[in-house]
Amino acid sequence: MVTTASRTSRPTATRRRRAGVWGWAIVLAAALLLTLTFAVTVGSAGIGMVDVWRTVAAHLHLGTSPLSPIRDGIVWDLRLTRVLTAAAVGGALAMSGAVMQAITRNQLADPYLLGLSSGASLGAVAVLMLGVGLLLPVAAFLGALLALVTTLLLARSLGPISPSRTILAGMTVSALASAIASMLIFWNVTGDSYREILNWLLGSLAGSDWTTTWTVWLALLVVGVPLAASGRLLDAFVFGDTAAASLGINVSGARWLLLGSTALLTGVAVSVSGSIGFVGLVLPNAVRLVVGFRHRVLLPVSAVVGAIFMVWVDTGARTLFEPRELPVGIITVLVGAPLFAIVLWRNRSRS
Amino acid sequence: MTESNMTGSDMTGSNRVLSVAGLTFSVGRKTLVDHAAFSAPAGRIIALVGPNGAGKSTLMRMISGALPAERPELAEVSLGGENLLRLSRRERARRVALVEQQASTEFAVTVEQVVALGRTPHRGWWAAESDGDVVEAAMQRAGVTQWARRLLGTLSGGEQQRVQLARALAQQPRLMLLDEPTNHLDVAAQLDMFGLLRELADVEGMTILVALHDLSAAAAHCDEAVVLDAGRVVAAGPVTEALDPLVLEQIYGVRVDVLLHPRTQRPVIVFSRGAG
Repeated sequence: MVTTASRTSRPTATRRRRAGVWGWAIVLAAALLLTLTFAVTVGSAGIGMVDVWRTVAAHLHLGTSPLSPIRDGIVWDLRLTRVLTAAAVGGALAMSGAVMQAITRNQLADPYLLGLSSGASLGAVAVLMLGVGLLLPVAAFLGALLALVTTLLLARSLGPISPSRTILAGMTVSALASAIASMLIFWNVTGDSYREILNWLLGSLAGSDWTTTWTVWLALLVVGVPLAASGRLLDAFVFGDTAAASLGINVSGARWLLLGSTALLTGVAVSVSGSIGFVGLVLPNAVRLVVGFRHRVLLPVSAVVGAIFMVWVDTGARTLFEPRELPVGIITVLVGAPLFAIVLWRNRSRS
Repeated sequence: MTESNMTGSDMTGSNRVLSVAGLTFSVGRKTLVDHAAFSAPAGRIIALVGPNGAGKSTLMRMISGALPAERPELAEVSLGGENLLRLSRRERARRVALVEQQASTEFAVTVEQVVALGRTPHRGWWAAESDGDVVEAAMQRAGVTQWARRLLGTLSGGEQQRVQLARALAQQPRLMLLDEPTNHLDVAAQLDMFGLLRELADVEGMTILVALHDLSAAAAHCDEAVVLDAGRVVAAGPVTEALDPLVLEQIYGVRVDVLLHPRTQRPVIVFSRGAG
């Protein structure tokens, strides 16, 4: 009797759950769209939400823009690029954080854990300060990759790669890379450029344009989408490497692929916006508390929530103290630290 | 019924055997598993016994394929004439399941989610979740259905082990490897666990290899035994032969006597200090 009952009730339960998932997906997508549109209107020049969409339509050759050329330029070239870059950076960081936490089996892991941000900063500083002949994003990305490889080689040399060894190695490489970057800045920076480099090190989206927009969205599509689809792979890591291997996972291959992917995403994000802290650490944890552990849901939701969060925070960064602008990285930490304390609190009462 | 009988009678000779050979693994200069080899009839409960540090857990991992052997070309874990180590990882994970001694996580994961992990080797990366029935049946069988929605961390050690057993059952393996599955269990729960293993072996023909430190439990509940010492297989065969007092005295360094259980008529192994 009991078995029959549970067998008949199960498909409806699954269907209901799936319907719920789609419902939430629509809600999140709508929230993202609304956030993007609203964020473009915030600031001087008095632009309305409808103006935003008509301007976008005009640039896609669907109708004419209702705005003067100057205000059209503000919407299309300044605000839209900034808002879109912010969204993609937030999504990339949140997703990278979730992946990093899964692979290292550590809730406190963030995308910068393995030296990625200091490596990227070092690459960027090398370009800005020493005039190394590379595009800034390329240099930042190479720096991130170099840091990651050094971290993993160091972890490997300590014995079989384990989460705690990887984290220790990451901290070491991270400290070294930031020290070298600081030294380069200290020797080379004078006056105005100091402010510029500080802005970058603290994380800022002020330099957004269509190039940064395309770069980071392309990375999100090419790397983030397959990553989001690999949720089940990450689920299998929950009890460690042996357990994952006994479930048929190619553990070292999967780890390199996933770490490489997060390095790419984080490297690109850091290259357009500097290192923005706490997003990759806090958001996946907060999202996990709500949607649960399964990465097939966790990764896409983290990406969308990260995007929404970053757009709001960056809008605050550019308008709260107008005409002065704060580096967005300061605000993410100001908002993120209390949020994270709450996450820790709730976790304590749970376990 | 008739169909399973027919397949049963068709499988003869090497097809009815679990055969392990050429497994060696060392860390640095220390050889943890040293040319391990044994064979035992399939569809039985096989105990893997030996002192602490004999290499039981390492050997378990190697047999599961999770830990590659040092000389993969010599390594063999055959069941029904098929060398499992030559299969792809996914194929192998559909035939062999491993329940580790320690399996913990700091993530808030529900019992049902853990059991569903057992479907990993059966599912495509893109396929939607469609095999809830298998998960449900595995939970029922291991007696964890009532905890389906609970977080793993809220269960006791013994309960968590049962969840891991349910996960392994969801893999629908032909070879089940369990590393000290009765460690955290009280006596009644231990008997339940062995009762379930007996059912899996006798009714479903599953081959079960179980690492145990309790020799009497091995003698009471298992059909076959493999004795491991310093990474080497020193005895293998039916429990009454393999758990030989002389062999055991040598590797454990204590006096060993074998008594007869007054109710079950199974051997009971007891130890004492004294001139050995």
